[in-house]
This record gives sequence, C-alpha cells and structure tokens, in this order.
Amino acid sequence: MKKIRLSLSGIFRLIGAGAVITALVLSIGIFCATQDMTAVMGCLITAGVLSVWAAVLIRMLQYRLVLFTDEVCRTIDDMMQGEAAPRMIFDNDTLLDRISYQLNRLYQMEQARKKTIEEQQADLQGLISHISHQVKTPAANLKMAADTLLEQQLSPGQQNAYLQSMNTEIDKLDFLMRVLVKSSRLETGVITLEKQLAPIYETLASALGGIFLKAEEKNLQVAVDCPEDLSVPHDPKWTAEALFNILENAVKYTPAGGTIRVSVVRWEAYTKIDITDTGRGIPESHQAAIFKRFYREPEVHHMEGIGIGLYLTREIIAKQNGQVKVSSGTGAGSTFTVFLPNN
Amino acid sequence: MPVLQTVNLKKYYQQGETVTKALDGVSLEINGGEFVSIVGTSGSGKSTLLHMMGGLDSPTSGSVIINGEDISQKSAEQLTVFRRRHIGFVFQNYNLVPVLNVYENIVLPVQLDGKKVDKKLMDEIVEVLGLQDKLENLPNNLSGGQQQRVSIARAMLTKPEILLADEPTGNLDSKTTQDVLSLLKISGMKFHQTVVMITHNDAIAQLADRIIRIEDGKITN
Repeated sequence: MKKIRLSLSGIFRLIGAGAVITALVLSIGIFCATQDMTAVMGCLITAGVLSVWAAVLIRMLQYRLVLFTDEVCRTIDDMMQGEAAPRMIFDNDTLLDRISYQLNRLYQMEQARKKTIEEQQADLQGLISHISHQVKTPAANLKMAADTLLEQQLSPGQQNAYLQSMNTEIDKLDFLMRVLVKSSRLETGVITLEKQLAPIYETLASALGGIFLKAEEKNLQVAVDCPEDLSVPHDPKWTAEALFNILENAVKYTPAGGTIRVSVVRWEAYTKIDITDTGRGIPESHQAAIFKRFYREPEVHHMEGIGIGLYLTREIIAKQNGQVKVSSGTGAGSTFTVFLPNN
Repeated sequence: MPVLQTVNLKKYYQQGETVTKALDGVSLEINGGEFVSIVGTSGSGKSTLLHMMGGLDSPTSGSVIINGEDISQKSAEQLTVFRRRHIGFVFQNYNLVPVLNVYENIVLPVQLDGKKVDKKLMDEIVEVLGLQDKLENLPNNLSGGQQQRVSIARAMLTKPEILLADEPTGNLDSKTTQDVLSLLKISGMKFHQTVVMITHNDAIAQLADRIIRIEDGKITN
C-alpha cells in the first residue's frame, strides 16, 4: 500500500471541497433537467444542513481523538517516570482500553526486566564475595607455607609436611575452580552430554567413590542396592557428577551415625534411583527452591558450599530427559529420586 | 503488590442434606512473575481454586483480587474482556472448539481481541509443541496429548499476564513435558507472566518457585 502524507485538516478540506463541488454539480444537473428553481433550492438547503452535521461530527471525532491521544501520552509519561504505574482499569472493549492494556503490559515487562537484572547483579555480587571468601583462606595458608619454606632452613621431613599442607589448600582451590568452570560450561551449553548404554552400577560406584572417605569420617552407614547388570542409556561421567552432588549433600547434612541408602529399580519407562538420608530434611515450602542456583537453606548458611550442586544435578538429568524430585519433611530425612528414561 | 490474591475463598456445594466444601477458606498471594505449582490429591479443590482465580466460577464467599481489583465487582462483559486479555487458561479437558481447525483454535482469543497474530511467536510455539503438521486438522482427529498441546498453544499466544494451567502435561511424554515446561518458564520470564500450574507430578511441581499444597479445600503448607 502506498503511503500518502496527509494531515487530518488536509483530509477535512479535501472532503469539504469535494462535497461543495458535488452539491454544485448536482444542483446544476437538477436545474438543467427540471428548469425548476425550488428543486435546486431544496437540494442546496439539504446540502447545507448535511454539511453542518458533518462539521459537528468532525468536531466530535477530533475531540475524541484529542482525548485519546492525551490519555496515551499521559500513560507514556507515567511510564517514563518509572515509578508511577499507568492506570490499571481497561476491561472495556474500546480502542483506548486495548492500547492502554498493551502499554501497561509493556510497562510491567520493563519493570520486571529491571528487577531481574538487579537481582542477577546482587546474585553475582553475592557469588563473588562468596568466592573471594573461599579463596582467601587457602591463598593465605599457601602464602604462609611458601614463605616459611623460603625463609627457614627446615629438615626434609618438615619441608614435606609443609608441602603436604600446601597440597591440601591447592586441592580446595582446585575444587572451587572446577565447580565454577563446570557450572558455567553447562550453562553456556559448551558441554554436550553423550548418552550411551552403560551399567548404572559403575556410574553409581564412581559417584560413591567421591563420598566414601567423608562418610567414614562421620561414621555414616552407606547401603547400596543396585543390580550389577542393569544398563541404562545415560552419560556416565555427568550422571556420576549429578549423583555425587546429591550424595555429597546427604553426607554433609546427615548427623554422625546416620544412614544413607541408595537403591536402583528398573521401572517400565524409567530407571529410578533413590538416595535416602537420615538428615535434617527439607520443609515442603522450600522443596522447589533448593534446586535453584545459589539457593541455600537459611539454617545451613554457616556450612561450606555455594548452592550449586542440586542445580547442576537437575540440569544434567534434564538434559538427558530425566527428572529429579525430592520428598522430605523437616527432621524426617530426605529422599532424592532421579528418573532416567530407559530408551 | 501481589498480582493475584485470594481472600478467605470458599466454595460450598449443596447436595440434598450434605454440604461439600470444595474450598474452605483459601487465602494466598502470588507475586508478579512467580511460577507456582499447586499440588494435592484429587478432589482436594485444586481445580476449583484455579477456576476461581480465572473468574470462571464464582465463590460462595470471599474474593479473588487481581491487580488490586476484586474481579467479582466486574460486569459480565468486563469480565469476559478481562479474562481474554489478562488470563490464559489451559484446561484439563482442553476445551477446544470442535468445528475450528487447530490453527483457528490457537488464534481465536487473539482475533477476538481484534489483534493481529504475532507470527513469530506463533511459529515458535507451534514448533516447540510439534504441531506444524497438524494446523489443518480438526481437534477430533487429534490424540489427547496433541489436543493438550493445542490448548497450551492457545493459552500462550495471547501472552497473558497470568497463565493458569490445569495438569498441562498430564497427557504428554517425558520429552514433550520437558519442552512444554521450559517453554512456560522462558515465556514467563520474557513476558513477565505469572504461572499457576496444577500437577500431580512432584518432579514437575519442584520446577516451580513455590509449591502450594491443598487438601480438603485448605492450604496445608
């Protein structure tokens, strides 16, 4: 469609001129046909009356349009102010209500976007301060040990002890780095999971290998019930990581002397892996939140961790079209269940 | 300010001598952009609550407040427009129009509001839901899962402020379920939508920001 530049008053002038010409042509035509002056007068009077009404109509339309524009401008002004929300009532089937509603939605989206960015910034800041806190202690210990080694003449045995302790600190830093790299890679999609038919027993064993020492230290009993010949299509490395995260939490939040029970059952469509602990439990109102990134239960803020394990677990399992759920209650222990599809 | 609020909502059904309390004093607040799941055993009042929130059913007492307005104060005509603009509903029994084909069903609410179809969004939704080849079909020729996906597409195309979904993935396989849920989440974030979803599946419920459990018409957590 060709665009014609035409102002509103231009349109009115054009239509007015057209109407006058039409009336004149019509009168002349009638005069020629009837030679009767009264008919022409009647025609002219009708045209006059009609044009008066047309003028009134145009005036009213103009007024309505001005009102409409004012209203839209006011809404936009409100939005630009940022704080004041535009008016909220638009449930009539009018043009103005439709456009106000759209504007209001746009406003809400903008506000929400702003809020999300602020929250993400706060998250990020929190994470940075947390990381720096976690890095600070090992770094200071390393520095101290290195200084000692450099400045003092120590016997080989003593030197060895210092190097050992440096190694422990480096492991801590290494762990932290690996967690961060893992999560950022998983997030940006750099890592692709490769599903292959593999025995779940071995995957589980490699996950359990990561917690055995700590479980032993806390005197936790670990019971595993898994058929050795059960093969499920999954990515062994990342699935082990996912299971390890759950197991690690189980060890961390179960008091000494408790039990961790792992059972694997093959169902029709899914293979179900249950990890049950006798720990502190999670109230139902938080059961959705624990899977969020950087979320930590308020009661465990003093303990080590950055709140990323379960988030990663769910990401990894979801990427394999599986599901993770928790059933728990305060003080009742928790059961995390991982479902991996059988095909 | 919460987007959606119910105040002491009650719904009683009288059947002869016995009174069934479908909802018995439910008060809750849901904030803008929140993703909430409602769980509970069947017959606990979940669906009734969802219908009330969407203005599809009127309470015996109590009120539903959306954006600070009591929706029971609206005229029938206002409520119709209100629902069409503010609320997307995914029904448990799909509620598709049998004489319209899939495409017409999906764009119906948008066209009723006199708007043009957002072509890009339409293509995206249809692709995620795997309905490309079904657009010409009538609902009766589709399986339950396919009808459910049409109903989801219809609810999402209007970019509603509030999306109410009654078991939206009940008839879908695990792959499609994942896709639908991430579509809901992404669209929720992009368009600042508030999503309230009923589900029986704990794993799905735990994808939400918050879980509300209802038993015997009352919130229990």
